[in-house]
Amino acid sequence: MAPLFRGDAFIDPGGKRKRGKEKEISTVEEQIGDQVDGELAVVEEETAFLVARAADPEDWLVRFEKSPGFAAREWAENMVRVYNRRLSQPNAGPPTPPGVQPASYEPNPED
Amino acid sequence: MADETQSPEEAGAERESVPNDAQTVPKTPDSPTARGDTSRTAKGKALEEVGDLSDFPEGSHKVVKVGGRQIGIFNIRGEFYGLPNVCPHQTGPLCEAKIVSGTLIATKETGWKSEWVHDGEVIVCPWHGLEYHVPTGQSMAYPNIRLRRYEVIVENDKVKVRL
Repeated sequence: MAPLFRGDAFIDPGGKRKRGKEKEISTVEEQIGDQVDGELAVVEEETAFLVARAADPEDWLVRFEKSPGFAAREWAENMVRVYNRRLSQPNAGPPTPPGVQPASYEPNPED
Repeated sequence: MADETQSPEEAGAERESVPNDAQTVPKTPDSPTARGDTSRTAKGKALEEVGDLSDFPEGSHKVVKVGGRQIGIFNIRGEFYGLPNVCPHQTGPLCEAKIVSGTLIATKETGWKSEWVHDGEVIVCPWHGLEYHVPTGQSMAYPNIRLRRYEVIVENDKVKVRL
C-alpha cells in the first residue's frame, strides 16, 4: 500500500510530501507513475470487450459493452494501444496532449 | 461543464458536451455487490488496507497504489467507492482530478432544458474532460463504457479495498 497523490502533493510511502517544484518532471510517466503495473490486454466476452491486466486477464479495469453503433472493440483496443505505448515509450504521452480538448473522443487507429 | 472557480489548468480540457439522452442516467451495474465488481471469475481476494479512516474525510478522494494498480478512493457523503485511476479514452489519470462535482444533462423529461444532476458524484478526467459517475463507474457521455468498481469497506477505522 502506497498513497501516491493527494490534492497537489505527491506522498511517498514513508509519508514525506514531494511537491512538484522539488523535482523536475519531464515525462507523463514520471508525473503520474504507472497506473497499472505491466501491460494491458483486450479480453472479449459475449456481451462486452474488457480491458484487463495482461498478466491476469480476469483482473479487468474497464468494460465496453457491445452494442449496435458503438465500436466497443475499437475503444478497448485503443485504450490498450495507448497505455502500452506509454509504458514502452515514456516520452510518447497520450495522442492528444493533456488539457487539450480532442476533436473527437472516438478511437482513432492511427493514434 | 467546468467549475467556474477553477483555473484553466485545474479544469483541464473543456468537458464533453452531452449529445443525447441515452447517456444521462447511469445504469445500475449488474454486479454481485452493492458497490464493487469482482474479477471475472469472482474468485475471492483478500482485502488490502489502504489507510486510516481519518485519511479519507468526507468529500475527499485520494489515489493509492495497491495490488499493482492505482485506485482512486472516494468518500462521498460517508459512502466509499473505488475506481481505477485510468480513463478509458486515452488512459489519463482520471482519479487525480481535484474536484468531484456534478454535471448538466438535458433530456426529454427535462424538456431539453439543462438540469444539474449527481452533485458531488461526478469526476472529470483532467486530461481531456470525460466525465464518470463515481458510484456506478459509468461514463456520462458513453453509456457503453463503465469502469470497474472496487469494493471499499471500513473495518476498525481502517479503509480496505477488495481487488
